[in-house]
Amino acid sequence: MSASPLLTARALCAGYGDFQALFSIDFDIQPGEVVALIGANGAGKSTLLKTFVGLVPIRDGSLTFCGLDVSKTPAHALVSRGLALVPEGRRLFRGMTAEDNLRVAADHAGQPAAGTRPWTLERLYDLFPILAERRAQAVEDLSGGQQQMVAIGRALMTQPKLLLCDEISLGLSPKVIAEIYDMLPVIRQAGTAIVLVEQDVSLASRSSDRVYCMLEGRITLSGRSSEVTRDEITQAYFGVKHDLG
Amino acid sequence: MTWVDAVIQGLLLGGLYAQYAIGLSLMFGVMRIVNIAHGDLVILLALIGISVSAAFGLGPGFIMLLMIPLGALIGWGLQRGILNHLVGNDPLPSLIATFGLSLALQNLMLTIWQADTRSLDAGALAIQSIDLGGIHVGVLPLGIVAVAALLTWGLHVVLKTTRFGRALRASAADKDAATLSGIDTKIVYAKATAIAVAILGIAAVFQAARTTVSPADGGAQLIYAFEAVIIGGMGSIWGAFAGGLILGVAQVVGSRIDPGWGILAGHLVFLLVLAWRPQGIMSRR
Amino acid sequence: MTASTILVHRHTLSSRIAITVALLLLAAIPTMPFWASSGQIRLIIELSCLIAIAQMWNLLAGYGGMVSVGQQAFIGAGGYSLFVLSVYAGLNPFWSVPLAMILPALLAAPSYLLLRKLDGPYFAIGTWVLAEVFRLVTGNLQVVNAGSGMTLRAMGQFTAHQREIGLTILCALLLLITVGGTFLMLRSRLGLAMTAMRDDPVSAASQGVNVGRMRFGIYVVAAMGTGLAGAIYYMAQLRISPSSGFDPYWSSICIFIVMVGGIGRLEGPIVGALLYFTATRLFGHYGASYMIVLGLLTLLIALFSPGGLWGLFGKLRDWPWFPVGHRLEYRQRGDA
Repeated sequence: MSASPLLTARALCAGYGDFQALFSIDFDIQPGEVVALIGANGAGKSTLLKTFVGLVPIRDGSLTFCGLDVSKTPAHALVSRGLALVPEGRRLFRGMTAEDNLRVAADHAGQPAAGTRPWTLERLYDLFPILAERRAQAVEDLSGGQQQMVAIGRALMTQPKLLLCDEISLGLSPKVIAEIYDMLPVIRQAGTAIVLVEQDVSLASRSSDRVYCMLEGRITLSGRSSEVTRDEITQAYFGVKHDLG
Repeated sequence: MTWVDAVIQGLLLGGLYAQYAIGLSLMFGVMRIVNIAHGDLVILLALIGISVSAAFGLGPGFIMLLMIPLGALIGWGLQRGILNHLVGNDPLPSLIATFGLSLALQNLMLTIWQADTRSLDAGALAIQSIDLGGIHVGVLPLGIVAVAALLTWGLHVVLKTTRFGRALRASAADKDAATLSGIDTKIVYAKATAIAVAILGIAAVFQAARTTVSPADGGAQLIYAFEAVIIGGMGSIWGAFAGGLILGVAQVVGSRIDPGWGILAGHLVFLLVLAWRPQGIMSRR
Repeated sequence: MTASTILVHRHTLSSRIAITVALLLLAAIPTMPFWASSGQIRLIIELSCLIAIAQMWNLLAGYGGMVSVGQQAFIGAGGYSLFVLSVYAGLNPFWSVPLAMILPALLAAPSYLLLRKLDGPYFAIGTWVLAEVFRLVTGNLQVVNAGSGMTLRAMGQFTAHQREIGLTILCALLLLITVGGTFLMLRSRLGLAMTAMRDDPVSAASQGVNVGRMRFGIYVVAAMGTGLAGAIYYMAQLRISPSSGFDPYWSSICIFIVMVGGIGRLEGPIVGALLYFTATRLFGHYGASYMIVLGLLTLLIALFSPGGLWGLFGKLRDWPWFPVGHRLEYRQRGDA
């Protein structure tokens, strides 16, 4: 393993208002790695991603990104440091064209990582040719798959070193899911590490190097995707025989 | 002929309302906030302008050059100091805060300038007019409409084509997603309010040059701006411009029917639009 | 072993005391003409009207989620109803007071149906426009003497003492209806729905609360209560004019009282009204400077203490006066 992880969380606790959603999370990801984050609905996966990008306040523990403490960095400033989230439900800017959605992110992008090629509109349109055709259309008139491409593209335009993807397959047809997942190796080869939150456990395992499983706001399992067994995942996922470890 | 004249005079009056409405529409569109002190800020800037003009003998053009940055500064401060803490789904906190501000501002102005009405001496410009087939069209009012159109067009271009415009539209559409795209929404909001109040700086000088101002006038200006926005269609700046002109026509035509019914006619047109076409006349829906 | 029971109750010691004191005070108001000075009675009439108007604004904004800056529409409508009924229908002014709630209700229903099309803060400005419409129409109507306003000559048939007796009874009833009525309404099943709506209109709607109908009802009821207070207030004044009855300053008072006292709590408007009333007696003569302070205070409350004074007090001591919820008490009983 590389000596300097890209993002490290230690004993991270976070939550909204009176409600604590995350308990003592330990999490690492190396540059160029793909990590899957699985768990049942409400396990805290989305909250963990939102905590990483600064949308949920951290109560305790530490969070470092590229070797710097970011536990108090405001969300918009993390983006220019190279941390991007593709939010659940896409959250595109309605009323704006596909290209303007992408341009907004490009406007506020940080410096791409040393030695990597920056993401440009041209490069993105090479990755998703359909978006080049639809660039002038309002995003709400695009299909679900195309909208998801815009959402991923928008995140890439911020030149991320780490791309967090929250349920990018949700509500899409298997064909479109396959299309989108086929793009992940391309993004990764460009030098971007990826965290995938995914409902489909086998898709998540196939697409990742390592996997974390969450239950009730805690990490219950972590390991190499090729090494963890279905049984271990089931236990970590549902909490069966949780106490026996 | 008198009715043609009434309509034209109404359009000319509406130019001023359009200028008030642009900022109100912009702030609501981006933050879903209504600044109740919007009209009081027009009056404040106008009174400052009149006092500065009297003290240093400056002309209206120069005063406008001073009031625009002053307005921007006030808007920036208002957003950073007060409104940024209150932006959210609940309209109550920002309404109450700006209501309190409005009450304080009105009475502050009353303390400083007393209840007198004042105006800015625009010199020859105030009385010049051109004759259009028997209808006298004042040069100053014509200039006001032209500036209103120019401002609307300018803002439209800024929103559509610039980096800042995109950030503004993105923040309006989805605040969190805008943050995730690297936008500091608090700065964007502060710029939006700065623009809104800077435009009031222009409107204030025109208002003071065209008619008179007194400390208690702010409420009426807010209502006119609001009616213009709703008549034209919420969230459309061209709508706010058109709404301002329509309101002006309604008021002038109404007052020609009966001098007591001018402002009321404006309110009635607003209520009719609300009843029959609540999305506004400029909306495509 | 220990057995534990959970007791559910509504009242606390503080609420029993407060309600008893409130009822005693209400009962004392009509006795005032027999022991208090006319000046004192005038003050109590004004205070009662302030509490009632503020409580109605609290119902509207604090529970209905509808911020209004145009409640003067209904104050004026209530006041003018009384004057018109007395002058043109020749009714006894005292008996006209309850009838003065009809016009505000009739105006409020279509007003709400128009205004509900306006989004959030625009609703508030819309209420102001309507109030202005009412003011301008009244100011142009010769029937009600246009801009110069009306005088309640019929009050001349009563002696000053009789007028005071009538007005103090009306004030006690006004408070009973507006404060007591809101209290009872909030404690009913309807109140549960209203509280749910206050806390989160979207999830209340998903729980089967018909938010639109509730808001309509609240808007009309608040207009009636406000109109009643307006009728009593202007009956005591003996004069009404469009610029006083429809004065936007009424809204400033409502907002100040409720926000400073504590919005969304029954106690808030009472605390706020007492504070405003006292402050105005003490500092009112500073005029505009006093108003600047009121404005800034409203601004500061919105920024730093949205729960108002009652909210601050509630953090220190849990001593409710008018509890509308239920309390759970957990008691452990040792097996003696």
